[in-house]
Amino acid sequence: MTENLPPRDPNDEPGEVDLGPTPGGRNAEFLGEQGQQPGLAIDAVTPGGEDVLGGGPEPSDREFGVQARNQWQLVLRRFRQHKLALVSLVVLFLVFVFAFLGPVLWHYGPNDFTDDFSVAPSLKHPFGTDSNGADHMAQVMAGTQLSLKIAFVVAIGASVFGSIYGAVSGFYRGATDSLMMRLVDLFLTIPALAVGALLGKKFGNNWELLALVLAGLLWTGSARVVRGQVLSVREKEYIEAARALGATDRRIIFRHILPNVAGPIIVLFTLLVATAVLTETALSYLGFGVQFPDISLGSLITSGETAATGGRGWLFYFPGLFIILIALTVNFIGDGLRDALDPTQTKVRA
Amino acid sequence: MLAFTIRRILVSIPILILSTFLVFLLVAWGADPLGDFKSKNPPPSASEVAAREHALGLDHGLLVQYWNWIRNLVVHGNFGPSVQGAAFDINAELGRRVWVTFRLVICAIIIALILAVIVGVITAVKQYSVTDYVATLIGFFFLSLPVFWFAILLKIWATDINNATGTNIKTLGPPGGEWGGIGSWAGYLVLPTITLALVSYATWARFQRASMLDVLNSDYMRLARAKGLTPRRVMVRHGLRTALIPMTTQVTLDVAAIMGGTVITEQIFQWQGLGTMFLNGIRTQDTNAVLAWLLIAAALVIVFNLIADILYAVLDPRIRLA
Repeated sequence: MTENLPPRDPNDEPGEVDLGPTPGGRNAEFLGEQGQQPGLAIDAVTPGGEDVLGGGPEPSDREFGVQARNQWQLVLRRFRQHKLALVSLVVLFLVFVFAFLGPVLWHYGPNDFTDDFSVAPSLKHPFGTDSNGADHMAQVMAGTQLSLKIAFVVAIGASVFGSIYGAVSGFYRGATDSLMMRLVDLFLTIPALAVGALLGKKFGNNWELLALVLAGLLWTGSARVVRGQVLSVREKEYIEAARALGATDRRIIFRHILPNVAGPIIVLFTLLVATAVLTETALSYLGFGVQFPDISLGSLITSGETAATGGRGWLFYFPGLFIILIALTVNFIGDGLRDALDPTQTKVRA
Repeated sequence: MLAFTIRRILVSIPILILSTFLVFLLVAWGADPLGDFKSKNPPPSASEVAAREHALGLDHGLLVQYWNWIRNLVVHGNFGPSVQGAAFDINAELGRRVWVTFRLVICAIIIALILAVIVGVITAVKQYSVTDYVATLIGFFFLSLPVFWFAILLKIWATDINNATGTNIKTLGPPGGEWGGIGSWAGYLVLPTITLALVSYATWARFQRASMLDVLNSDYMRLARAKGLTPRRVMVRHGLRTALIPMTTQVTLDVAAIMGGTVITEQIFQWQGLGTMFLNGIRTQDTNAVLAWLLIAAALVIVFNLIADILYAVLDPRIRLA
């Protein structure tokens, strides 16, 4: 009758459910709890609630499949309830397959010239061809691949450096902190896009260097947020305990503090991927980013711009579509992660 | 209040000075003003290159170059010679172009701000409603939109509309800064304004929603309702007024970034503003023009940070300036 009763709130900690076998059996206990809250219908199903009780027909005969979940299992559970983020994850995965597996399978390369000049999208060329007869889908595959590579290198580099920088600054406080944060303020006075254009013109022929330059411009956000988090985490008892056990500063920062501020770092990472894609493609569009013979989604739009005004819109729409796909899915995933990682987040609000 | 303002200004000065130094280093590292000259065909002789270097003051060490540049700037108010020829006077160009960029930005900011406040408040009051979800989705979409792509798309659409209905939406900026009457004035502004406004709108609406939600859950709102005030009065007088304070500082901070971020919009709509001057500066490796732009951008960020701090202190009575 009540075997399928889900927890009232998907975010309930496992500890809130009494796991010990009670004489009256599981159902009796739950009924007792329900009895104290007459307003709640017993078979009410909360959104996204799961059948944590195992749902067996004879619950009193077997142990219940409830086990304590660790933090990341909880996060995963909450993330799965964010439908948009879940769909985004699938779409982003497909974009990755398209960009990295696609060029292996597709029978045209981005620089193979066919005899079909400026052909509209068809079965033979799903994204059409450009005026040189190059297959546009192959070009978009190559562009997506490079833009993704750059975006992830930038995001990884910037969040690793920014997190360590922020953690060190927040951990030592005092003069070190002031000095390090004034340096961040200094960096923030310079518009990233502009300096990216200046240095991209010099380093754009090498995408790894370009990614490094962008990471060097975009790390400040993570540094600030992580510092703020560390300032509060460093006062926690477990840090004091670690220090009492004789842990070095480095061990405390890397083993005790950084894992405990992982939530904001992960969310910022996803935002950085989106920012990096938009910045890199903008620079490449202006001619200050990825340079020929490398192909980026941005440089494809540069050539697609004139084509679009000449009625060959496919050379313009497809690369733009893929930029939006990447940025949008990454933003949604970040939003889902933010909800999932925030322990104060509850779905049911007054 | 005065003491706070003065102290805050004094703190800004070393940051500005350091910022000029950082900018100078970046430009010296990233650009070679004689790049075009050296790659001429036939290649110029070593003595010609040396003469050029001497004329531009590049034969000194980096620190001396910086000192000469900053002294020239502070004492004479001069941004130095341009490699784009004698006709291109950096100071005069800056003075002219700053207004072009300002005109471009100001409408966009006002429109984005009004839209963001309205949408932010509505979505906060109707949290988790369909309106909220739709507005959030649209906001996410704008946040993920590549500005340059969207701007080109607008140009394509505008051309189609012009052809279909005979309207005159301009897809390129006013040549030479000539504006004509109010009608053509609007025609020039509409596309770049939409481009700039939508991007800022998305961030601001989310910010306004969060700030309004904070206020809605506070005790004094419940008290205001309990007193029997009309819902409208509760929302506007008690809710919105408080929720606008963080928004004011956020917008002030963003204005500097928007002024610096018009580079792409100006480039696509061919406005002869600061942004195109910067990009041309990079293309011609005109270090002094690039430096001038970066310096102005950095100064704007610092000044608007200052304004935001002071505004926050003025608007929020909870902030005590000890």
